Amino acid sequence: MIRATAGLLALFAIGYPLGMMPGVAMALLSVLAGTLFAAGIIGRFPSLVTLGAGVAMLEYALALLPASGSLDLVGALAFGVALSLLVQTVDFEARFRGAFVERQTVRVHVRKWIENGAAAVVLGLLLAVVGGGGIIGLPPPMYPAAAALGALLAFLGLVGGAIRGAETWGAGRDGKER
Amino acid sequence: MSSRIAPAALSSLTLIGVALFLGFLSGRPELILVAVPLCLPFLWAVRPMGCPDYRLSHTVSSTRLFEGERLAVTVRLTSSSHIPAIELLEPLPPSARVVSGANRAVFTLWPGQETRWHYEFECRGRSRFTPGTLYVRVWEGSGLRLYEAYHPGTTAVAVYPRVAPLRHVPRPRRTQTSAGDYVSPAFGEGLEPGEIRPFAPGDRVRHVNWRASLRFGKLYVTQHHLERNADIVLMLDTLAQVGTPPASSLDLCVGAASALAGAYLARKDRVGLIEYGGILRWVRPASGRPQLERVLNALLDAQVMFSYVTRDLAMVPPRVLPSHALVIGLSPLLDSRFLTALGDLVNRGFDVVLLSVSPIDVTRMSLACSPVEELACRLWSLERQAQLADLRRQGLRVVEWHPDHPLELALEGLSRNWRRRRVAA
Repeated sequence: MIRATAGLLALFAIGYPLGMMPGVAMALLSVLAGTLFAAGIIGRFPSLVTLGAGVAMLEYALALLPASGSLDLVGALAFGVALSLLVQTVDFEARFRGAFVERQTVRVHVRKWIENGAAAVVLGLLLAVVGGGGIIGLPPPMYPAAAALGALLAFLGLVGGAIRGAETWGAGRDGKER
Repeated sequence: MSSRIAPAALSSLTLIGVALFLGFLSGRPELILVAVPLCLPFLWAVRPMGCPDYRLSHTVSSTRLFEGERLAVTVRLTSSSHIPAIELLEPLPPSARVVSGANRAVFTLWPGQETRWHYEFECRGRSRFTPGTLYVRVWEGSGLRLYEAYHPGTTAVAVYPRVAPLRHVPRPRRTQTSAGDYVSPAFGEGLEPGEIRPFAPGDRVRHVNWRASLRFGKLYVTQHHLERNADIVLMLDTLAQVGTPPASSLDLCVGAASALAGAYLARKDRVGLIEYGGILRWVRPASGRPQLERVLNALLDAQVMFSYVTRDLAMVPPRVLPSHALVIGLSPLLDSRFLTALGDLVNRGFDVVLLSVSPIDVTRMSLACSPVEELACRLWSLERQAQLADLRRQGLRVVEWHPDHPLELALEGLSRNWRRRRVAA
């Protein structure tokens, strides 16, 4: 059920930017992101889903380029919530792979995801109102520095993920002592 | 209990970074808004969360069991605060297989709530392990931060080799002085009738053979054979093994040794054990159920310990290797030093039987079948047949046991040969 939900979220994440600006390049990016999502969801590999989400975000950025100056508030929030939920659901599946998961735990997590989504929408709307259509009031000369900060964050996340990926916990995947 | 950032936090951080980078690069605020839902779990994660307060108790259904039996594990879990997800993992020994439930589980705990986690696993091989070693992970609601703890187990569990019932066992050629199940060549009080002889003063009337007395015209008595027990020494080869546990050649030898020990002890014999390997270990021959436990305990810990030093059986005290004892060697015949030791015993006048587990079958079981390996196994089989024939020519009673056949079948062959020789004699 959770994986089916993740699949639907992935379809939205690759379909929405393609719907905004159909084209060969966008279709190729969609195929790439879709492949990564599919492999990540089926194989329960959150790192592949993260890569797919990165590609989907690039696709969304390209789709936004020729758009007019009007803010796509609902679309952006929906796209962000979809990506966030996708990452969290696949991470949940990967974390507890092979384990007995109590129904109550699933219910608690689903409720948490819904709460997070709703809170994100509210916070996004608030930011849009405060920012007044600009990028949270930041002056344009600061954009390159902010972009560099974003790139640094992405790099740190990737490096940290690669290091943490090699960690094991107590026993092997089969639950046997090593 | 240690706390750390979960891998999901790094995934989210990467995506936030990508969104900010693309957003500021393209100058589009939508991409900044995309990062908002990804940032939100971080707000939950940075909230101060006290160290999770939970209690767990671990119980097992039994601390002593035999191979193939199941062990039920019950873990009770309580918490004084809300824990969104607590993950428990109990590592199992390599020979265990979960048959009911799972040895890894995730629960949600509410204050005061008690949760029971129950599962069963089958112990397929002899082993000694300590269940109750639990790895615990407490996940924070957002899944971005976790606490890890380790609870060591305290109760030791012993999985003894299975004592398979045996009807036919190698018969000892010589008996001892205590009462038992074997017909001794000596005459005395017993059930098995032997020769008849003329009546002598002191003979009991109930021993008079009336048919012979009437025929020959004077009194004859029937003599009876004594029923005596025997000393059996099981000699286990721990110099080398093939295959992987729980079906290695040593495991099969241990299984055979436990079955033989059980069968001989049930016949009131005294059974001892010598572990012939890098280290010489032994159990003094004795009878009764406590002795079975002693032998099984020794077999439980038996493992291959290779050494270039050849142990001399002369170091074994006579009370461990009594004269007139039947020595049963259990070996895959991979190391010639074991054969040398058996030859030494034969020369010292011991009655020796060699039960050889076929290492070829064990190797076949652990290898993927390929034409080259099949050819190698066939060549090995020819070499082994020649080796066993040579041992038989030297006067050693040899039984080859193919693990895919019951042990009873291999021993039945030995009993048949023994009966044939006895009749011929």
